Amino acid sequence: MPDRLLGPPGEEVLLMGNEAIARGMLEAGIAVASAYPGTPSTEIVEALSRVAETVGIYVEWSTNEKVAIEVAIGASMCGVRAAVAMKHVGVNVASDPLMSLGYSGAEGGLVIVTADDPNAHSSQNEQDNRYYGMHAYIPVFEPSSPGEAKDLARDLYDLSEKFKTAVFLRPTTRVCHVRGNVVLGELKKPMKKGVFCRDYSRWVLLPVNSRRLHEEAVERIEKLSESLHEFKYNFLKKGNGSFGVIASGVAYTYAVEALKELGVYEEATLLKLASTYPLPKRMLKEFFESIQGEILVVEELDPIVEWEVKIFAKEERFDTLIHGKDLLPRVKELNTDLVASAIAKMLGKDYSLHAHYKSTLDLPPRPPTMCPGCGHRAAFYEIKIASAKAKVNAVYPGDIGCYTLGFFPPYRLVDISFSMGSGLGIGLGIARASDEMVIATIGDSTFFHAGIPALINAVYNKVPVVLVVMDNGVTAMTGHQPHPGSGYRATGEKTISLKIEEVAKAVGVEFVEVIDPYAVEASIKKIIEAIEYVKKEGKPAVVVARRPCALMVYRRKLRRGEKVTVYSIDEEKCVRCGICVNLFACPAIYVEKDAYAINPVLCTGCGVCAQICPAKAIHPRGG
Amino acid sequence: MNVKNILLCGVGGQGIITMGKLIGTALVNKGIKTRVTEVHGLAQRGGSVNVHVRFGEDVYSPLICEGQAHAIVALELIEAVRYLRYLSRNGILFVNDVLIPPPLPGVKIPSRNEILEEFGKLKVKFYMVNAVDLALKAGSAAAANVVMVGGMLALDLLPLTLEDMEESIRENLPPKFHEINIKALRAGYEKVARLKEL
Repeated sequence: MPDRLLGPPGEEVLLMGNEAIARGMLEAGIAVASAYPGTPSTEIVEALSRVAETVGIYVEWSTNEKVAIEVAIGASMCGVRAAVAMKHVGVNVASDPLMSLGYSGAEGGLVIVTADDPNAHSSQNEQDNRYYGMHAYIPVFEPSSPGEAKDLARDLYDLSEKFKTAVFLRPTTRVCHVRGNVVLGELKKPMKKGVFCRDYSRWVLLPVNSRRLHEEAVERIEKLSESLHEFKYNFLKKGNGSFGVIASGVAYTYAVEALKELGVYEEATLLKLASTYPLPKRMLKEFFESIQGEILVVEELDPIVEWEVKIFAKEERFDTLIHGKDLLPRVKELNTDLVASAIAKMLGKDYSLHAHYKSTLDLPPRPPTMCPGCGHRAAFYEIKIASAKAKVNAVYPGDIGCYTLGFFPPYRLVDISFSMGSGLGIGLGIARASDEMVIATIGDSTFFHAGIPALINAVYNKVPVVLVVMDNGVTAMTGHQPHPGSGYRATGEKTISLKIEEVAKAVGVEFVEVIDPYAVEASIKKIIEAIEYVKKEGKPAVVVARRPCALMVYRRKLRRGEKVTVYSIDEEKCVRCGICVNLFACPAIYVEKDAYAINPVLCTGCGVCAQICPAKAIHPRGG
Repeated sequence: MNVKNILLCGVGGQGIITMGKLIGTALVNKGIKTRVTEVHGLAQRGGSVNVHVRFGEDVYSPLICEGQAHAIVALELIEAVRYLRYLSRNGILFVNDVLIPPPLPGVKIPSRNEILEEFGKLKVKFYMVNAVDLALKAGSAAAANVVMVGGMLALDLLPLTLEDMEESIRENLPPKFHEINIKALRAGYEKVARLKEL
């Protein structure tokens, strides 16, 4: 299958928004791309890594977003075009260098993708990263569809170089994860190597430079705002009625459909914004001059455009009534219905939602679960039993990854989930501010991302805490991207595999054990030892629970045509204690009419259930 | 407005996102304006999954609103009920006769009969097949999603032919799975075409 990402110019193909952004970057001739995986941003650099060798560009998964943005800044300082992508909360991690970048500006074109997640589909919050643009003097552009995302990603490189500034491209989940028609453009040959552009006055942020650079940053944004009325992704459609709508990002698509559904599209004067910071002021003036009625600002999350427009109207003495978050929600996603209701309200029209069915059945929830054979499930089971046997009523700070699912019953072993690497850090505070036993969990990728400083802190400050590293060998939740422990790079190239136990020993942890969660008894024993050690010595202990991601292994076996030996339950021997279903809760094990059984399609043959069954009723099938 | 809305739903791991990709590719190959959206993240399998498919000249938004889906195509019965609110009053409900209980201890699960009774109360066109059986006959249970795509063609939910969809299968799936999936596609088509005649 030829890669659609490298299709010939003029071809119209189905691309996911993130793939479209990657294509746009290739059409701009980027030479360097870096990222830490995070939904909904992951597929951008994943797509680029797929074609890196073919087009001859450098692509990496970085240890975290801060390093990722630094790599891109370094590339830009050499005059080559660079891309960095992250999910919205990743920008928090990258925010320190980001603030300096706002002052220094860029040399080679530099696009920072912040993939925001209204509705927090797969995130800890709904933060609106347009604030970061305003905060750092870095302009923000929002695409409304995959096709526009591709073109915008490409053209922002010219803008970035013209104004010597980094730019934010801010797609949201409903652009990143939407597949749509994309017309491919010409691929540009990348300038692979540049020369470091030494400039003491820009790259060295000592106060003497910073004060001047701050002034330049303010001026840069002003100058950009002046030019944006010519930026083709902003446009003004004049209507034959009196009211106006301003819409940005994917909310623009809801606005168009809502206006059409209400039958007032021709009447509406519609300002479509791609640049939401700064606003195209001349275009905004023209918009205000062409309407007499009220205005609705349609945007997801915070009323950032609304505020800017209200300030603009006040300064320019337009006294039109401006609506926004008074008629639209500030939380979660928008959709056509919500926007149509808001427009109808503004116009004093009736809009009733479409009649729809409501089921009277009581439906069970279906939260995501750890896969059958997942080493995390076994490790959680072992932590639970070990805690009981060691007679500790512990606090369990968790972290971010598949193992956050240890929150759900029956495990309930995630008391805290905040941000990448925060479980251990917060656990240290709990261990110091109480007499609680703290057993923290963290994934392997998260450990490398932001866990190590907290571990060093635990050693340095002699904090009694158990850290269980749930090591499945990859960044699993976002789709099996490699990390510094995986042994290969984004492009598949082989590299060193950093061992977590060696890192722990190197930073001074004295109790370090590696367990295989599939070996239940041995693992429980080691976890108990760790708890006893922490109680006795008052120092941190690290247990690395290592088992490659079951889904990855299963897929590998499928590809190679290998057979899986599945397990089954001997009904004669089963005492119906329910431990396998109620405590271990593997999705492959089920109860039907009081009989326990294993679904052979789901079973991956890990054999953990056979070990935990007190009646020894579970055996390999045919064994 | 010239728009068609189809909601696909089921359980993570059943191949719903692949269905969206297959359908989307075939539509775009025909030059039809298309939006297919999905939500993923938070673990790879076992969760409730839905994919919105919209196509036609007037499509801008990627999201279907409640009561607006011309059809719901469900790979699992509980999920079919969960997303019923999206179905338009005179829409088509096309389901795979499979019930996957969520692995949650102590949670009450509605029975197949209760669910079918619920569907009986609706004023929609209802079609049900056992896509897993048909897929197994074609060579792999994993092709149940493609059986459903075949059924969608028989129900005229898509302005596409079997040949269009076969091309999309060849474009999107690894070569060694082409034959099984094309067989599954045809099996689904034929089965539903027969149901339609009844």
